[in-house]
Amino acid sequence: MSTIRVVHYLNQFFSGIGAEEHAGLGPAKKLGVVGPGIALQQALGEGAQIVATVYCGDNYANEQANAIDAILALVSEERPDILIAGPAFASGRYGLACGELCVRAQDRLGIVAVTGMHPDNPGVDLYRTKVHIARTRESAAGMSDAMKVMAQLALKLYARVPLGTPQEERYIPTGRRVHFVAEQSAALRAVDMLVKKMSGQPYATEWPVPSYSQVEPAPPVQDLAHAKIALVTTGGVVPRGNPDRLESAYASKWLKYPIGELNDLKPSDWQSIHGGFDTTNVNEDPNRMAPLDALRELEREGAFQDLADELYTTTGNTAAIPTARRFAQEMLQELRANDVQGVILTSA
Amino acid sequence: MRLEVGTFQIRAIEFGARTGVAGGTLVVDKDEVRRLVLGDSHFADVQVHLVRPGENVRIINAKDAVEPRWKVSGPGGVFPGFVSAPTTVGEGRTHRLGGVAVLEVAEPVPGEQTHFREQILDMSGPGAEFSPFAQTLNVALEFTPNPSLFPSASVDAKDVLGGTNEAEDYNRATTLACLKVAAYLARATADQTPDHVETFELTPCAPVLPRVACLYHTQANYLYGMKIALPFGTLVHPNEVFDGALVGWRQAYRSTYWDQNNQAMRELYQAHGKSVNFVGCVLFYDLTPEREQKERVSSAAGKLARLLGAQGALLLGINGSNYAIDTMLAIQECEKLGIKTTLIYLDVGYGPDDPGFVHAAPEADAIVCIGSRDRKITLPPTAKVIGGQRLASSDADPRGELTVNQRDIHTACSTQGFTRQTTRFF
Repeated sequence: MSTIRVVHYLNQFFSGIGAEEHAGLGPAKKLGVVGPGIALQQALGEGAQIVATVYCGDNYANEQANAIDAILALVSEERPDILIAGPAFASGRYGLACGELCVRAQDRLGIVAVTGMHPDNPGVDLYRTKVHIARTRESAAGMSDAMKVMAQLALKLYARVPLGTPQEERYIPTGRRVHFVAEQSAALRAVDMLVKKMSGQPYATEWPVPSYSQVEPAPPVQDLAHAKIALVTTGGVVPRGNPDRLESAYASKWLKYPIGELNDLKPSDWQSIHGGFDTTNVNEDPNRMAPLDALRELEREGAFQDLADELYTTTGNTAAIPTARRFAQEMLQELRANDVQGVILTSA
Repeated sequence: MRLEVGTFQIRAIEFGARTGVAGGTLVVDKDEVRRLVLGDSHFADVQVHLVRPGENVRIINAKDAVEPRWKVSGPGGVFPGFVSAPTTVGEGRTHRLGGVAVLEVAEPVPGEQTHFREQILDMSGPGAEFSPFAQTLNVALEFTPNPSLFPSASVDAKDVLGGTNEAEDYNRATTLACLKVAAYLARATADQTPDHVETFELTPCAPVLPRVACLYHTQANYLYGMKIALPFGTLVHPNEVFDGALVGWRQAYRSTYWDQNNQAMRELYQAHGKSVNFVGCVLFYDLTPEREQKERVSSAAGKLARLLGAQGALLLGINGSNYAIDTMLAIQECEKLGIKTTLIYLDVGYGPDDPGFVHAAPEADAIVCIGSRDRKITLPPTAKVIGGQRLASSDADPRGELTVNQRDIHTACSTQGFTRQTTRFF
């Protein structure tokens, strides 16, 4: 069996070029191992060889157009079977470069690609569903451990050996689900798990809970008296009859409706189609979900400059987090284009 | 509280002149079943279908499923508050027809919320692997409402759980009809000797065994015939649940049958005296749009577990809606009180980006997963459809090939503990 060809990717710091002042360095390549690559080569063993190390400054990789493609071209020249990038530990720009490079290596070169990051690295949120990311410590103190995990993952993926769970194999969960029929009922498994937990024996949850990324509250609007405010609701408020068929649950879209000429939302013209709460009161007075009447009053009093001409609406009921995130990003683009400085967001 | 449950294992089901059980065959007097149902003026008609595992049949608009049971001795009767007086049950001897379910089949009526309502039961093919009622011999009651009840077809639904008062009243009537028929079928065995008898009694245990409660986050059920929220929770003995004190259907998430046979409680019974001391059940549930309501109901659930002296709690939780927060708060409350928890839970993730929890507490570190609500399942075309012409939430032809979510299949997302479907996260 021929030796497996591996390319290792590093940033300017770990390739030994220098620290932050060299972050603008462009892509380059050296044959064989560089710096932490020695530990990686050890972890890979004799069956796989690091044929080259490609490196690039973190700023260059993140800021220059086509930087990742240029790095990928250097990787591709080596006709590798495996790309191992990093580990990036908690370094954000490094993590983003490693993640994007691995995705493109998988997609365009069709090779195995693995990286390593601390769970708080911003690259994790963006790339964990697309590439296998070894779970590392925050800093290079965890280097040799991280190299072992990345090497194991890469070799298993290359050999098409099914990976164990993220806990067993120490990678960050990819979100991939495998459904199957267990040998024992849920009830029996739960009682067994409880007995173990109560008696201090080891037990393994079948489903680790996620740690959600916190959304930092935005700073207060600086000059409210001169600000444009928009009304946004996840309370399912739509024109009566729901002409655009907004869903009562699992919303697939958000909508906007003109309210520039209105002083309030009349129950004859508006309703809530939200499926997660008793809509009786809201349908008697839709302003209580989307408080247009109160906002008009505040507008007249000069509490803020003016109200945006459209009501932004969707249904929050049973929304999936990525969908909600997409709605927010799409709405934000429009709100920014309309010079909106603040929103009143109401929900059911 | 000692309950003997005598099982008549049923292996065949057929229509006949006189309802009865003989040699493992249940004979159903169709006319008598119809008379029993049509005595209630809510109904213009009822069709009685016998449906067996392996048949090329699709039941749509299925709702609750009930196991035929009858109380032959001891206080009270089965399905208290519906079929019997609403007095405490769980003692004496109850007969059951093992392997039989009475299915409530009813198209939505005006004023009834229809999202989440889809409940498809294929008796054969890939869908049959997901519903426990593809493995039972079913007496399906297909109801037609009295047309005078719903003169207008344009009634706004009032709330997500019950719809309008008229719709809720009608749905209670279909539930009651199923319970009456279930009791009637099992009553036929009153003077017979069951194939085998199981005894359920929470006998005293060695003090060394850890005390364990079942904490059941229920949803809009009838308790002793009363539709009631439980913001402060309540204590019940598992035997009460086995005797049908807890009734109600909740989409794919629960059916009465699987409380009469609640597997979590049965497994705790199995472990009772060996590895645990099963001390009872806490039911809790409230409509909780407000934070205070969540704090109240979850705190009360933990308190009741503590009053039971529980050192461990097996939680049957709700995911996929704001109630998920209440389940997680109850776990936090228990762990704070030193009560170790495990949770039986449904993955509600929608794609790999979605971790599958509405809310997750770090204390929920021992979860058994019962599968994924949005898993796609393709059902092949079927020869026969029971339950109407239209699906509840799709315009597709119910006879044709359907690609559905696991939650669209009857009782396929239940946390009542019986399922072996599971999901692992990679």
